[in-house]
Amino acid sequence: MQVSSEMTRLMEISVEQIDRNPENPRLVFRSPELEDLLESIRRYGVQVPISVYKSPKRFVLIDGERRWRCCLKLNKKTIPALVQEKPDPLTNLLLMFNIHALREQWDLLTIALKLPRVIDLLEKKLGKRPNERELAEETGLSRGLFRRCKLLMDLPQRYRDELLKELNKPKPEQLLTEDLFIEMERSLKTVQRSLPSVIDDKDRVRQVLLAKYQQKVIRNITDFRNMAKIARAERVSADTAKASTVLRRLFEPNEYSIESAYRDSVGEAYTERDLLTRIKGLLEQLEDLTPTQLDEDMVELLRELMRRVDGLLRASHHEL
Amino acid sequence: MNFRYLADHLRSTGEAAARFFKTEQGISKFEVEAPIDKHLGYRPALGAMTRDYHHLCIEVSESPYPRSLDAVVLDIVNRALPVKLFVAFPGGTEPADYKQLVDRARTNGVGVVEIFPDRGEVIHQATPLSLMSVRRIEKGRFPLRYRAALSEAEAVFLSGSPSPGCQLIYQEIENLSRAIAEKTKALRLWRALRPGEKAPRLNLRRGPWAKVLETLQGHLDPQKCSCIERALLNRIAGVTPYRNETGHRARNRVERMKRDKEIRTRFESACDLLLDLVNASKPLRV
Repeated sequence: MQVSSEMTRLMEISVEQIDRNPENPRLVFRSPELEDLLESIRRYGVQVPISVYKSPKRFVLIDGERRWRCCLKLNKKTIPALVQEKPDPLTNLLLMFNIHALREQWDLLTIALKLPRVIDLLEKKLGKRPNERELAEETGLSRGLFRRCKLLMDLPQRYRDELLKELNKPKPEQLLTEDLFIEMERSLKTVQRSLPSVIDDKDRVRQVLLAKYQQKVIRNITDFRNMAKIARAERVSADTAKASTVLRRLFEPNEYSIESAYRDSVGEAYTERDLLTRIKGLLEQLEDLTPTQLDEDMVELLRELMRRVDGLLRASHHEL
Repeated sequence: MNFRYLADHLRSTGEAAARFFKTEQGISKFEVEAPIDKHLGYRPALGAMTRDYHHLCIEVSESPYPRSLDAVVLDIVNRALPVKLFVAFPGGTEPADYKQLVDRARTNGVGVVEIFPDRGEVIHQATPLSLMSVRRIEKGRFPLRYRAALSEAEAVFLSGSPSPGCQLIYQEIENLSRAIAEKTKALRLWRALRPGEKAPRLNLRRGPWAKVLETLQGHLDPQKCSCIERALLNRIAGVTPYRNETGHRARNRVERMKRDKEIRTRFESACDLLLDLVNASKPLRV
């Protein structure tokens, strides 16, 4: 992406001569946030110039749509703007992505909706489909962010519409969030990969899980991570047949939660693995210790550990 | 409608609000996000000129009263612009602080309308903001028996009927001045008749008010009744022409602004006059 800084000029331009950029990925302008900006501009004016490019007789926004909208509302005659020459379509889009990658983050869905257009334009430029690294370099966004966007891009249209509608609400009022869909989609992918037979119809399962979330049967979006753990039962040598059974039950409209499914299937196995990992880690650290490194507190704690381990082993010996 | 500021999800509310005001007030054409005054730092979502030359401004918002309107109302009041400002908010979306917001709107003279796709419900009407800057009556300075009438006069004035509001104050001035005339006559505080002069035969309770004042001005003896000064009677006589004036229709926006300014001053001076008269007549125990 190349933009000549020699051609950029700072000017006061008429608010009425500016048009919004049809390529702007940003679709959501939440009212409370706009109101805050409106008050700030009313008090202090526009402190950071917007960026525009010159079309034959008017100007088109590259950055600063919210500032421009507020100036319109406040009946301001002019607005400070950095005026550039008209960029080609790809540069136009990438300029907007880069500005936002370095500053305030857009809603992921709005990026996701615009990414196919960026990919198409880059494909034309490069002569091949851009990979994640190339996309990250050109847009200034991280690869992790791309993967999250991809999950949203792959959602069926009606969920994207619903999410877009939800994004217009003030953040605290949003129930169906981007993070919810990302966590759910990630987990569903894992389930599909590890136990493909338990998902008969992915869309139906989505609907069931969303309904459970809305009814608070699933209480937290991070619960979906445990759904993925159930699907990976084999990794902790847990019973995969049991894991399949609980997942099938989970994917039916009932009161069965992820928390219960986790407890009924792989919970113990994961706790055991976690404990084993910690004990191994402790043993490794103990090997590195020398007697001179032990202070009073440490000695006391090691004795306590010894007492407890000893008690536990004696009890297990009796049971055996 | 080509909204540029209004959030996408509120545009259908904006369109439904335009339909509602068309049905309710016969406004056929709205301007979208257009300035109403070049010096005013505000463009309403919808704006139109009413038949009585008020700017009807409709703000479309998720809230019954967006806090950014505080500054707008203040600016409009300071400029004495003839504006009726409404907030239209989507029906069925009652925020937690709904009551406080609606109260704040009412205090600031901003109307509130709840908009549903097929209808609207007026929570309360807008006050012409050009009248809002009227000095509020200090009712505590008046005797108890006047306070209800004063509250009503103020409410009528601020509800958008300034002339009837003024008339309610004039009514009190008239009643009191007639009572003063009757009482001073009964207490023989009038001067002696000049040779050949006939005693006035005017019914002081029902006769024309201007005539009653004229008689009082001509017959009250300042030596016997020093509390009612001639200057005060002249001030009362000065307002009699406005007693029943309902006001003519403004023919344009400038005339509307001029009339609103005049009537604000008239309301304030009528209240001052009533207070002066009440205080002056105390020794008479009218």
